Amino acid sequence: MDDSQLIKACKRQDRKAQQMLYEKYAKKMMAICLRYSKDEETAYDLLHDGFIQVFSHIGSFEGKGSFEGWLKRIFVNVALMYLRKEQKRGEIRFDIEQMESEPIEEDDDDEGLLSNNISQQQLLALINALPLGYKTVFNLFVFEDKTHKEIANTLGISEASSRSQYSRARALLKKQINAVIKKNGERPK
Amino acid sequence: MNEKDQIKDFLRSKLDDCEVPVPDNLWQRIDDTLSRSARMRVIRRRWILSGAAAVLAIIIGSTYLLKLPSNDPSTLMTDKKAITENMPIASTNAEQNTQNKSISFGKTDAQPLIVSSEVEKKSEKKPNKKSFLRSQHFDNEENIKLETYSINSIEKETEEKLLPTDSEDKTDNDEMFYEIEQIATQNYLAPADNKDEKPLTLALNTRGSLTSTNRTTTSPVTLRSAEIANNFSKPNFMLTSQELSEDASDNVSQMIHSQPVSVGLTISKPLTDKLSLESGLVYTYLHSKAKNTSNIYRKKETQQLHYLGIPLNLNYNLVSFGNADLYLSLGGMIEKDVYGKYNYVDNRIQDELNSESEVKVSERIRQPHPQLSINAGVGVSYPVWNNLYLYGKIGGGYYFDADNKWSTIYSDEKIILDLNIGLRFGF
Repeated sequence: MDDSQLIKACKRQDRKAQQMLYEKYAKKMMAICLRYSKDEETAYDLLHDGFIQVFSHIGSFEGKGSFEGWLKRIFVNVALMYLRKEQKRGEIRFDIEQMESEPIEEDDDDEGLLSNNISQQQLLALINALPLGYKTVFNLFVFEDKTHKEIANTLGISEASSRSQYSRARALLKKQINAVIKKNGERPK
Repeated sequence: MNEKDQIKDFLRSKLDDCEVPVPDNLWQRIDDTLSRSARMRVIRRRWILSGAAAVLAIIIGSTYLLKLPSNDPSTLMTDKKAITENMPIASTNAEQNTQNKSISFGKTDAQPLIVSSEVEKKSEKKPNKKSFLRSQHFDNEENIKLETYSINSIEKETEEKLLPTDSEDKTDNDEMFYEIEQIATQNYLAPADNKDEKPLTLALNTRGSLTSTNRTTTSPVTLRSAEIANNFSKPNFMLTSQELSEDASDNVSQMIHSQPVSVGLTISKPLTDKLSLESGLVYTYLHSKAKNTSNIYRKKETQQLHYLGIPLNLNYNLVSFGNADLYLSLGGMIEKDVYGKYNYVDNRIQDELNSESEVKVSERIRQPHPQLSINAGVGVSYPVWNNLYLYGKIGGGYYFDADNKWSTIYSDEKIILDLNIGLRFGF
């Protein structure tokens, strides 16, 4: 069954089709949920809530754009809603004042980034290890192609704060990627 | 920038199609939620239909009430004037009685909501025989004469009474004109429709519940309903499984739902002599608290909900004792919260660090579903001044399970006893 048939069946609330759609996309969406959450348990909850949203609103998908793109947007929105709630409860803060103030020296060596000697899981683990504020800004900028202005609006922070957090997150991540590649034994001199 | 954003391209190329394994039971969770949502949709649809039916009933009822002929005394006076202008006119000097009649006329038509048979009888007796034809336009006539009465339908009935001339004494004239008035009123001023004419009654009602909840247990409690808490979120204010298992014995939980307080404005219309239909708008304030305390934490939740409701009641007059009327009331109400606030304070004590942390949350809340209830009560109304009645009603309501997100006295008690006190004004 291709996507358009699956979508049609899902619009009829056909449970079998819903399960097929889930099985087809759950792993990809789980990667998105994991990128925005502090732990695996939260990511599972986001995945659950995201699919409920998908099946509730699939009727509004008109089939004009990519279905996968539409799915991704829903999961990112669900994750952002969760983060906003956490922010309201004071669990997390995105403003730069809460972050470390010491500058992080950026590793100028970009050659590591050309290497393939790092697995997806390792990369994902490195991103997940970033502080939640950094990680959120970084994800929105890198994977969702949001501008700093849009990120600032979404998270309720200043544009400068968004830039600063992205910059620090990138520097931190680059260092760690190079370290992992080096550890994997293939870092070119 | 391009050089610097090499990491962006690198990560996107690596992670754009990244897949992460998911737990096997996750689909089961989604499936359960979808099934529950489907059931909820059916329930919600039923609620909406019930609500729509109730609103429709109220609209139809209100329209019916408003379409009934007006009881405005001025309208009746005009009608009477029209007829009396064609009626034979007798001379009279009893001007003083005019005012008396005008007053008694008004009183007769303005009945209270709960009309006892005795009161009605009294009211019927009240009209002053002498007064009607002594209204202002007659008072100014200096030479009142008897003329041929041209209204066909009452001509024969009145003919004999009209024969006497102005030579007859005042008392006879008074009697005669009262009877003419009665005939004219019966034939012209009180057409068939008007037999059902009843006055509207406006009521200002206050209700205080006699029921509250104050339960203390060792099981953790929360103002969030169990279903929501278990399935839709794992908020930090819920007790964790660790807390549940480790500190159940130390935990002291208290759930308090204060008595609801209501204020309402209702309008009612008698359908028969003893039965009246009442509807309007009622505001209700609900307040609840939940506390969980143990050796390592103190959690306190408070919530305030403001409801607006539309009641629909039938009041039946059982019996009258003097001026007081004893009545029975049966009905229902649909309510929806219009504003809600939730506060949460979590104090966590860490003995080993000799420190205490506090988390405070304050958020707006909404109940997803309307609240339906049915109620019954027995009340007494007593006239305090003219058409102003003081009434009190004691009764209770049964609150149907609305499957709402936040616990209230409605969801936890189901049956709530209450006392209503108010004022009614018949007009």
